[in-house]
Amino acid sequence: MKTDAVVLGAELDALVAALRLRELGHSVRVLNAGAGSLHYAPGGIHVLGYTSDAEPVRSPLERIEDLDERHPYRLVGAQVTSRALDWFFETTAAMGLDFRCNGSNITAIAPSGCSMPVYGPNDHQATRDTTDTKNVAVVRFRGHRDFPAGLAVSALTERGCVATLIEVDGPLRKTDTVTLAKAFDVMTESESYFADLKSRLPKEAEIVIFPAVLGLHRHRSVIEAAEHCLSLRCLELPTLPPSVPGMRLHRAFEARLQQDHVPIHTGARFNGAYTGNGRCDAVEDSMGRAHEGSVFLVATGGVLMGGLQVESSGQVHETNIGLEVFQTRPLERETVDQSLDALHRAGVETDSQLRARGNGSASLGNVFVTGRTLAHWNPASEISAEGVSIVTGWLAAQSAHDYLRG
Amino acid sequence: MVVIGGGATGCGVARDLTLRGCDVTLVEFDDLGSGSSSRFHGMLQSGARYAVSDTEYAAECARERETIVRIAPQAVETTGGLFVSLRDDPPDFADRFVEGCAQASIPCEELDPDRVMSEEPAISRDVRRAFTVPDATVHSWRLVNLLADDVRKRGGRVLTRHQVKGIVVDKGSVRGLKVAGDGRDYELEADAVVNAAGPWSARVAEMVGQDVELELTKGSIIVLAHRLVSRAINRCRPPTSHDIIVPTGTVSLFGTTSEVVDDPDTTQVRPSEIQALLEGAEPLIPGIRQYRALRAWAGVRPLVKPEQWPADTPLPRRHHTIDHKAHGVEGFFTVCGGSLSTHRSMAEDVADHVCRYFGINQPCSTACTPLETGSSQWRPAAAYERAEREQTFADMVCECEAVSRAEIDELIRDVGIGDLHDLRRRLRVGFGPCQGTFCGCRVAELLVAKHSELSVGRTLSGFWTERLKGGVRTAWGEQARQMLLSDAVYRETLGVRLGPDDLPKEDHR
Repeated sequence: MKTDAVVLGAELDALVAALRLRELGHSVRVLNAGAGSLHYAPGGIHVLGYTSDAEPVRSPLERIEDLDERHPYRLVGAQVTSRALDWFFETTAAMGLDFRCNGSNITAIAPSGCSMPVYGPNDHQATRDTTDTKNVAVVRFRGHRDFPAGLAVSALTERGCVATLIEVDGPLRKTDTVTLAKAFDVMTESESYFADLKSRLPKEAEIVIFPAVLGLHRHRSVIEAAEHCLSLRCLELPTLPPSVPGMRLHRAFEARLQQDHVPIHTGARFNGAYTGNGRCDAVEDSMGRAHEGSVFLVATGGVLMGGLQVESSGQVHETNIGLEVFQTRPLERETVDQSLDALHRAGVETDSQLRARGNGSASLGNVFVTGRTLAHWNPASEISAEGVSIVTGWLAAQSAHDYLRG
Repeated sequence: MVVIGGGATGCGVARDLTLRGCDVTLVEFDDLGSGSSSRFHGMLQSGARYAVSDTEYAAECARERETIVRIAPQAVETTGGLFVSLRDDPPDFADRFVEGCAQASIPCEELDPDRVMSEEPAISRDVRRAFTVPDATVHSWRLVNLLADDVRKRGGRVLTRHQVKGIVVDKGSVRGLKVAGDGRDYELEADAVVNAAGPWSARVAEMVGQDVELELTKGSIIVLAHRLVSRAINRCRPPTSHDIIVPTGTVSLFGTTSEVVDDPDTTQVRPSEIQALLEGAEPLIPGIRQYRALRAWAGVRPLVKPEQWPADTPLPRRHHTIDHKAHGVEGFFTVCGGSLSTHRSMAEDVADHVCRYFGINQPCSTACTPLETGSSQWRPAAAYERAEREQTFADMVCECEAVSRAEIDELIRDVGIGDLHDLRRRLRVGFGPCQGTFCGCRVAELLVAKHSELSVGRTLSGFWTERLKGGVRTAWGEQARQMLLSDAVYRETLGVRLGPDDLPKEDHR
């Protein structure tokens, strides 16, 4: 089984890199172990919310120079970051996913009611600027535990909204996030459902906020139906994982890759890689099959998704290819904050083309590393997960393309 | 009368005195059972552990275990215990162990090692001899709250989050207690003060110039996901570190270490202690490094060191009661040493002293007066069975520990609990494999509905960092992923920030 490029992982960076490589004319195969962290992601595009000193960021692209020089954004540079993000928003718009993006961070509302900076919220994501001082009805589906609507209501009230909590039965009386979303997908009597809901809303309501379960596959038509029947602006607030907006993004990319004849093998585990002469020739899966390629992209999601493994001694390993890992000693840190930071920052160090180094620092010229598997960044303190994934996925594809062209 | 300390001993003393007709107020700095009473391996000792080293104390444990099972079955799970001799354990110890158990009247039966190894697949394949004893596990927070509820029901007062500022002594006799709590400083009148503050009791005694000689030893414990064993299992060798695993709730506790410390607030577990625990566990639980460890924590044992006790010998567990009249303060009593397993007899002993001092002729009745509310034995699976029977999964707020919305609402509404940590201690919410990742904001929502003054961000970050404090110490393998999933939920989805103000202090006493 040989393709030009083998992409390991199910992360956003894996999807971006695979699609970009295909666009650049290469044959691509994606191998991954499971669903990928987009299934936990609240769905907006977070590029950089805070500096390393926890200072809020207004314009992410202007603050890249302030980051540690080893940070992935610094490796990539502001210009490439900007191009990659432009590509992403154009590409997703063509897939039917709309993000609202004006080049600066927007304040989104987290399901806890806390504020969160987001660079590109989903088109129908509730943000401060769309809800402040309005009359808002927050809908909770009965039995849906992963949406703390009461917290959202009190936070909205604090911001000058008149906020009312409305509890109704979900379609088919579903109570879990994903089954609720799927029930909306297949709902045939949506007019009577939303008409019934409308009768429960306060007359003064200007906006209705739902948990982000308004359709998984048919989100756009579900939300159009809701707005049409209620004659009100309908917005969504993210839920706890699994998170439907993240899944929509994942599915949109998968559908596009399938359309472009990129095979995606899910459930793959790896025994290791065949490396030598400064390059990787193949990875072997747990069934003993060799997947050969001219370039390999490691988008395996770091410690969170199992792309990096932490031993009980505190050593961190990259097990798929056997790449050298920058060690941060996560078990020896004093505070919670430092321990988490060390878990995030452990990872593979690369050059500015995102080319990895193998064990013993022997360079592997055809292996490129992206996303959470890269060292020196912290998506949770920076609020930067999607941004770094998109930008490093895009650049890794570009670097791999340059390599393939010789 | 005032009792200082809301652990098992303090609550036990308050109950004992209340049952004898005294007017009692209990003062606790933090929440009930937040000190050493909850920071141990959770075993209700049959006494077998001390059968060789201290037969008299072992016999006291044996009697007390029976008593506690009788009066508070709802806080006890009678798992049973095993003592196993491995290849490297001293072979003669097993015979001395059997002899010691017989002397202390602890039922002990030798089992076929092959049968034990098939019943307990997680333990070593090198079991040479095995003995079963009636060890049990105790839900310590449930026990202290049952004791405190009983005190309240009988007219006593229980003041939590009250700090002792001073003890008022007039002409050599105790007159009262200065406390700070409920946002004010005030004085409680008292004819007698009982100091049952565990590892903090030396500090309390110091307030009236009294010396209480304690040796504080820190014990660290690793929490492993799942019940890896069905009974509390000890190595059959002289009691030492790293030799016991106890199944409790949905987890197993492995411990413990022993290290002399100066400060009763030392609850930090050092990385080297974790490595020592893992290494020490390997002979009993082979492959322990491959299991998922949820967290690690430490508690401080307040032991009394007898004069001329040989070094390197574990200190005796027996308790001491001091009537400070002999040292110039009348009406001041200290009870120290001992353990949760013997808290009731400790309480009886000090209450006897107090009653003798006042000429009260009421005998102790704690051993024959059951603690009310619920009578069946504590079974961790009971709540899951109920949810299945009544089809109430949507009401399950904490799936890991099967805590329902109704239980939480009741504590918030009827008992007036306004703190996530206090709910956690009473219900075990957030104790399971996800360590509060999913239930944190569900509980916060129920709490904020009643206490609108709470800051959601603060409440969540306080709860979360407290859960992570122990979790990051064992963040390897799958647990490392769990910590980052938790981080993704709290910071990347719920928008909680970790600021210096939000970080809980190591211990805020």
